[in-house]
Amino acid sequence: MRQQPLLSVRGLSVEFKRARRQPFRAVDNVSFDIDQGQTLGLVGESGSGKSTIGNALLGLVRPTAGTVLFEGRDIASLSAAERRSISGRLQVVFQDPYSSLNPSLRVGQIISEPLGVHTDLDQRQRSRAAAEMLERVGLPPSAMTRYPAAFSGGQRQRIAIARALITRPHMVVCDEPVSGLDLSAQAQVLNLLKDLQAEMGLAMLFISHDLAVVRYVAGQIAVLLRGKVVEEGATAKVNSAPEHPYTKRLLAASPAPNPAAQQRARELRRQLQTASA
Amino acid sequence: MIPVGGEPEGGQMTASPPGGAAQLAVPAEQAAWRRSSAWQVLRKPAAFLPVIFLAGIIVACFAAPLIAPYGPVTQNLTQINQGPSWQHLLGTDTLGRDVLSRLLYGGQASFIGVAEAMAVAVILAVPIGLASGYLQGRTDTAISRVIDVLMAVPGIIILLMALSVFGNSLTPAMIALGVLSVPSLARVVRAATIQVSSELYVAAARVVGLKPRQVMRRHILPRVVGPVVVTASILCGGALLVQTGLAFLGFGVRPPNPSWGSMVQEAGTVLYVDSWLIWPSGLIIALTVLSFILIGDAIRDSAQLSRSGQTPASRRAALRRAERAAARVSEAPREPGQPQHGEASPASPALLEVTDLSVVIPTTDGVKTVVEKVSFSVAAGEAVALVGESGCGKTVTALSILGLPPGGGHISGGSVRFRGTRIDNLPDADWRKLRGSGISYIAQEPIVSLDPSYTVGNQLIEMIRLHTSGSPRKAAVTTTALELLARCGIAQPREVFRLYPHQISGGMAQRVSIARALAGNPQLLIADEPTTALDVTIQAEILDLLHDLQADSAMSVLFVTHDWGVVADICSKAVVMYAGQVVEVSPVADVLAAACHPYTDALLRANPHLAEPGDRLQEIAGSVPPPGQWPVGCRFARRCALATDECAAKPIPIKQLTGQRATRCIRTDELAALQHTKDGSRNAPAATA
Repeated sequence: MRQQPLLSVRGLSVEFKRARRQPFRAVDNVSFDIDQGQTLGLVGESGSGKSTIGNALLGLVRPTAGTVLFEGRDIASLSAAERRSISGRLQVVFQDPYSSLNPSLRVGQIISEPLGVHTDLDQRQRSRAAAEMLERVGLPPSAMTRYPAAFSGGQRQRIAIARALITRPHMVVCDEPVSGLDLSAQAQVLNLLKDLQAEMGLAMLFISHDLAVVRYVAGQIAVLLRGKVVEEGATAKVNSAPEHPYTKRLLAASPAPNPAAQQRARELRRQLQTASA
Repeated sequence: MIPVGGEPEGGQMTASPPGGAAQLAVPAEQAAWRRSSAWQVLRKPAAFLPVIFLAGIIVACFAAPLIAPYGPVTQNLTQINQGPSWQHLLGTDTLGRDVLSRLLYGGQASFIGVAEAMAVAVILAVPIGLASGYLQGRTDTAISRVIDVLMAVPGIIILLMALSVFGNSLTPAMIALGVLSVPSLARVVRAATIQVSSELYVAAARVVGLKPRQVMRRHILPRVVGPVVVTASILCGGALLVQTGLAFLGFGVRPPNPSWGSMVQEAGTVLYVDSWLIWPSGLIIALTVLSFILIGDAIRDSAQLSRSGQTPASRRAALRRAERAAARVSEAPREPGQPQHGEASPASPALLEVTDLSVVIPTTDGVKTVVEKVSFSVAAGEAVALVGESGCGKTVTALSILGLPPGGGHISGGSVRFRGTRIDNLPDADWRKLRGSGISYIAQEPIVSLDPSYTVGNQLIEMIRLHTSGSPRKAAVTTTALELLARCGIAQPREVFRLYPHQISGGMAQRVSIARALAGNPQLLIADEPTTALDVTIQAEILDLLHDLQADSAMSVLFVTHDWGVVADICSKAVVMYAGQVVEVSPVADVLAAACHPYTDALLRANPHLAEPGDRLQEIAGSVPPPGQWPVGCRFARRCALATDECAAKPIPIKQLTGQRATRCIRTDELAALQHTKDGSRNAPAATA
């Protein structure tokens, strides 16, 4: 018998109201599961609704329909107070490491803030825990008293990861966590996320537009097109034998550092284009 | 959401790598209020003088019992309406009272009144504005309606009512004034709150589980303080003027006690008898109000200054300047459509030849070299990639070739030759004289680089006219524009022609940018990360377009990018930059098969594209050293696995290898050996599987 998944999303829809027009359906009847310790990669282009799905899980937007079972409990439309009780176990790392850290707080304050909400630790214990977490993500203890502006993009993303993981969550929503980073910083952050996932048994919803990154981190992939999941399956299978035309287009468009492969991809793109035209 | 550039910085924030100027915009803006702390504001005379003046006046007024030469109501009827004298520095009034003393004592009431009004306004407006801006929805609607109604109430009537109901004293009037100031201040707070609320860290705070009250207090309030201080300081000036007006009408402080307003009123009654008396009180009020306003302006300016050159508007303007200038370079008196290829002088086979190019940029810590002795060439019809991480100087190099080093920098050495002619260090006017040069430029963010107030058609027509001699007929120009749009893969050129930039998608906007860049039939197109801000499928379409355009017209392309997939897609030669230097030049196929500089090698191994799931990506420890902190020897040595003492000892020259390759590394043999074992070990399990 299959164990109950950590997160189970069924028929999730999110609509945004528009003045004098039909509401805009950003997410349309989306369903997926994530098991403990597993990663689901949510791939799609801008406007596909991938970030809206993440925000709906996090309680930042209210779903129009559907259920989100997290640890067996429907969290789709919790009140703000009820949401607080699970927020320590469901955390987030956002895309933009600049806007996701409050510039007027010190790094130590930023990282220890969740502990103030979810634990009874006193100030000293909180800052000790923050220092440990900071070390775990590869930053020196001296970072505690500095402001976010003193750090590079990759370092800021480590700070954001430390903040997300300090309450030992069971699941983290990673919304494009490396798309603002250079290759070398991207590799550092991806490795760190994978290490921490293995160490803490984290489940991850990894939202990205970059197939190469998703392929590398996620065991399962769901491909989104205009709010709908058009293809879902094991990464290796989706990657090697895509079924939906859009997945094929996406794979053919993802630039690989290999001129011969790119040449083939260009021919494939042209074929797909003529096929769809 | 537009990604934060494709090229986030790798260096420290404090020493802005100029290549990352655009990327640094965000943190600079966020830190604006913090950096514009009191001392920063005070360093400018426009703020320093009013602050000193105001502080002096306030101290003097409240020290009046100690320093005033006479009492505020001490009369001397033998000396009325006198001008300034040693006895009475500012003269005496109609009852022979000392004006200086009355000003000092009267100031107390005036400043206390201003403080009362502001305290009431701030205490009420800040929570109202925060709640309205953060909670949104019905709360916001309700509060906004009330504010709208309050703003429509005639303030002076309310003040007079307050005075008549609560007796003729200043305090109720000033409290009423404070309440009347709430709407304007609350609106400022609301606007600032809405802006700050959209930042991701506020979302993160909500996800963490903070209550709305905590989010507002910890994460929003500190960022709202700046705008509140600016508005409040201007309202302070207004409050002082209202006091004066009320006193002039006979309300407020009761005679014989002095206030600045009542002194103006008294002086007004004897204006024709004693024209001096109006000056002391009138001037002190005017100067104090002016000081309040100047201080407000200075605080606002310092906040803006610390993000100067980084606002979206100025960035847009800079990009547009770059494109205009590029258009000027390519301005040529020739028939549109007639190709210019094969004109390169036989003495110089390369279309573009960059030799030992160095660029310096002034920073707050002095002038810094950001690009050092960069050399490479682009042959006719060749597509060359300028690759590297952010902060390595690739964008600065590209813009300097166009004669537009960013950030107020200039070319400090070396040369740029286009078709054999030097084009570096030319004054603006001489760019025009460079006939038939044909360099065009497209920027990373297509929508930003198009002027929002003109239609797509207008912008194309502008470019085409610039590139056509004489005054061509409108129909002909329109036809050319439509042809260009069609050539750039726009299916319905006539429709797009009439649209404004905000009405088209990012991919479409980049096609329009390319069409505009092609208007002058350039021989060289400099493309600065033109697909980084686009979706992958759109990126693929734009790359296909550039590939076809390049193949059809034998146009050369200099492609600035950090994406090796893009390099592999359309470039034949890669110029890899690190910390302001060229570290490797290789044919693309060769460098992707086996890099000959450890940095290139590490960069390729960090790419998840080449990694098997389950592998660890190879990290490059640390980050790119920013300009000014470059090591003496090899700049990559500190992060390099192969580095020896020799690497760090002295600058490493670039070394020519076989097969048109060059590298700035002295340990290429070791690198090759390492690549052999690494790739061998990687291939081994795959072979058995």
